[in-house]
Amino acid sequence: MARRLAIFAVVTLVVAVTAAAGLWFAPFVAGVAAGLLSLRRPKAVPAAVAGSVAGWALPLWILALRGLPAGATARAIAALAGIPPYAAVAIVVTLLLAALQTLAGAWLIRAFAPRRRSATTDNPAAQPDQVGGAAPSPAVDR
Amino acid sequence: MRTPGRWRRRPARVLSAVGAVVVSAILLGVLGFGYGTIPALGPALDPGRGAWTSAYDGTPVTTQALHVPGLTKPVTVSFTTAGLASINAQDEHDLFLALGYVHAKYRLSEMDEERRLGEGELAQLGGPSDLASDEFELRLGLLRTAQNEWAQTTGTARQALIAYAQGVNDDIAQVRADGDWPAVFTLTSTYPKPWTPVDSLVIQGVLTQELDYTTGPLDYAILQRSLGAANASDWFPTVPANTLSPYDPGPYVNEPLTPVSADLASSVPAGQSATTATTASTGPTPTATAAKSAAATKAVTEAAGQLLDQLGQLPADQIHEYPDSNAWAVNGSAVSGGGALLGGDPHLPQTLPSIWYEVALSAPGYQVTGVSLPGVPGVLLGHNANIAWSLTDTQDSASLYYAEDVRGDEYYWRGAWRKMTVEHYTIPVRGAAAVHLTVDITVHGPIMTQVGQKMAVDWMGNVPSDDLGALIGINQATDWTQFKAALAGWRAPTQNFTYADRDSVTTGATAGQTGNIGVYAAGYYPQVPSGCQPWLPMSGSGGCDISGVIPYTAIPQVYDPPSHVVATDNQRPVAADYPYYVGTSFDFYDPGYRAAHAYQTLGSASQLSASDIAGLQNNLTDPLAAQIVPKLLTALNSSAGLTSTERSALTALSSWNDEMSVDSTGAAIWWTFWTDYLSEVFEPWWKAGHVPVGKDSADLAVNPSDASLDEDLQAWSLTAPDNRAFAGPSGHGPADASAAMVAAFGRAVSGLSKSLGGAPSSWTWGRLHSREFPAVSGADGLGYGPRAAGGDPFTEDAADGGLTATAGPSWRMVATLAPAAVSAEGVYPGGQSENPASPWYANLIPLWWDGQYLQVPAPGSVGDDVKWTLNG
Repeated sequence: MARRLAIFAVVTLVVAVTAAAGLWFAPFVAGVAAGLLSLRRPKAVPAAVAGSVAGWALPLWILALRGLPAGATARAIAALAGIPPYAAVAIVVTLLLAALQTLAGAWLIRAFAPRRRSATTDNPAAQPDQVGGAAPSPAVDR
Repeated sequence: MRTPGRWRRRPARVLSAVGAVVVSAILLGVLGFGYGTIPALGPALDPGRGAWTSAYDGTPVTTQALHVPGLTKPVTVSFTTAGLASINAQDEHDLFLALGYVHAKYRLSEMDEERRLGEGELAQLGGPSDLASDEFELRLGLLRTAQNEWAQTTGTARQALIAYAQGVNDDIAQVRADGDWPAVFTLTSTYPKPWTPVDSLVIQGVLTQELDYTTGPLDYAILQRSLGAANASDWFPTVPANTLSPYDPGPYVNEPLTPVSADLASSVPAGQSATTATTASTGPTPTATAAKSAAATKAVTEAAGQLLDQLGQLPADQIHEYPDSNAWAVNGSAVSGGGALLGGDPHLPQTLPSIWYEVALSAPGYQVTGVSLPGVPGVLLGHNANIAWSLTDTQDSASLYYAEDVRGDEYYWRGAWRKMTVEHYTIPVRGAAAVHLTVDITVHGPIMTQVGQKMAVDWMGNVPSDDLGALIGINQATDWTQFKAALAGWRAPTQNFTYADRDSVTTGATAGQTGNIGVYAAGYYPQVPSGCQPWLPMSGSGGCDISGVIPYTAIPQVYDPPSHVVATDNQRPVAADYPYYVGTSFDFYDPGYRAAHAYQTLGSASQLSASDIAGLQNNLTDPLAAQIVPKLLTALNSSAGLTSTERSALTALSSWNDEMSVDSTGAAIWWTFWTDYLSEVFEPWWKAGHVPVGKDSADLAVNPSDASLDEDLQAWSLTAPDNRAFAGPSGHGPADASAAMVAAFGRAVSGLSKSLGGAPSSWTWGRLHSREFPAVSGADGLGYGPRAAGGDPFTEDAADGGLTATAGPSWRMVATLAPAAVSAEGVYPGGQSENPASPWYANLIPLWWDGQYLQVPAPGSVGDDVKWTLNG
């Protein structure tokens, strides 16, 4: 749990900071990193997705905290984008983009990375189905 | 050796890998680069740098110092709590530069959209749906005309445009550096290019087009072909039968026309000439050119229909539709305390943001306040220390169409075949391939039609016009002589410049008092040789070319009339004996109901004050109803067999006070009746003639927006109740006006029963009628309304555009010209900022809605809320 919280916090911080720098694809990169990490720690991906969403939500929250018209801006964005002109719609779409990027990044890695072997495999004697490297040890999510 | 299980798993893994790659690529590609009309949503919705940062621009402004390159000395910009701006500079260069900067700060996306519209670049922003607009504008030639105007602009106007453009670009540079773009730029990933003086002239051209370009001759040709020449002539006459209350009743001078060149409005690019750059060649003389009018041919009406179809695809408000502005001035005994009063409320499409930006400008020698047009330097409507002015549209015939004989790339003119000037354009289209457009131009102007008869439009809006020079001259004028002199260079759009000052009156019964008033209808009024019919497409062979324009001294005008009242409400400005052609009743002239009402109200009053003028601007009396309803009541009271519902409606109508107020039952019944009365009389003729209403429903349909039909039916109902039109084309229609009224009343009551239900006492006007102020961007949710509202097209507080009105008073101003000083109050339905998140986005609407006004900041004043200091 502590590791998942740590992943969540790091991803939140990195995604939020990079968003301010205009690096809109940071959630995807976070997903790639989470995908790699998930080879050992499968629950890294959900934590990273949550972190990306939080990382993009954080600047919006700060806008509101600073007294800026975040809600009215969200409504305007929704209207100009041609989606239903409600603030919640723009916010949900924005956060959804962060989540989708992270999921896509994680999927990309997991699709190519060697599969983690389970102890109840059909053929325990078989070599791991991997692209180079040694077979990973069974992951234990602590 | 692989196991069977492993073989089973591999396809799934391959599929997963391919899926991951494809999904990631598509996702990142679409987010990073967009697809089709879908913008690059990644950078657009990045919460740290994307559209969300427009929230910063939505906060209340604060006192601060700003660096604005190009300023030679410090400039202060102050704002009232409502956002009204005052700019104080130490010379005119800095004043115009600061105005450009402030305009861009608050209206950059509006300005960019307007110039895109005029320059044929809307599709780059909006995609294929805007292509029709771009093609139309590039054909018509606002950009070519603006470029020609810029080549001819000199002096103060040139300096003003250069300084203004730098101010706009200073803001664009700041926004680019900060990344805080207005949301529409970020969401489309399309950012504004640097501002140029030509852009300002294009925006001036867009307003000219909105006020001055019409398809009247095309519609008239269709109506003539459908209804027959006799009916068209009877029902759309040059001078209508009703009383129009002209502000210039004569006597008139009949002076020779002012000559103009044949290619006056050709919009041929600078350096070329449509008359001298052509190559004459021999060939057969086309037979069609023998006719002076080409109106009745099938080819002409087909071409007209095609062009009208194309215009129907344009964004709303690009073509002039409604004639509903007011400007009045009173002086002498009519004014409490002496001096003069001026009221002005231009009725235009009401949008968010508004077409107007309210600002006071102050520099040595330049003190003016009022409303400006974002994108253009100067104040268009307002006052200075000595005079006040407002504008209404003159509505004259400014678009002449010529049927050209075309052979390949040549056209026939004045006895020879000549090469057309050809312009090529590439139109960028968002999400699609760029489109190439070729525009052919004859001596008359650009060819506008693409099928059937080739027709060129000779539009006065394409005459290079020193409007900005005139505007700057008006801003600085101190008396009537200077005011008129400033307008000498004004060509288009023709406008009724309504004027008042605080000078001493030198003639008449009030000589010695202060406060002169007048109207001068500046602009070019094209004239064609006798026998030509400018209300229809004419032959392009040369016999019906513009032979000149009405001389400056003879255009409609009035100064210090004995009545102490001038009123311009888009009515025909002159009487029937005016010696020049200014258009037919079909040229958008208002039926004159508002003008008559204004003359009656102001002329019969004494001791008028600013509040009285404001009251008249907000007046909801329907003057036509005041004339027709008594006739209707008489007809109904002598009619047997009314149903109980009809009797209840009759009772409501009997006690009605002619006011189109939101809670009025009589108003709902009256308007429905008048609409049905028009249909009862004219629809049978329209159906019999197969009028293709769908081509241009605004101008071809039978409805109260057609001023000619309103005037006809008004006149027949009052003075010619047995007009042949009542019987219809079959001859078996209503016997006379009374019978038609009773029938129409029955239809109206039946229709209201179905649409509103319940008893007639519950049929309030607000249940039928509303106002809406849509967003300029067209985005749902960023406009205002629809909200139940009073008014109709005939009331001083006009509401146009149908039962959900979208046009009306876009600015209300009342100026008091006391002997000691000039002051004004005003309001427009909107707010100073275009940012929907700003507290200044729509903050003025409640005031406007309730008929309240704010003090217009005096030139040189300092706003009480926030002050910026701009340093170079």
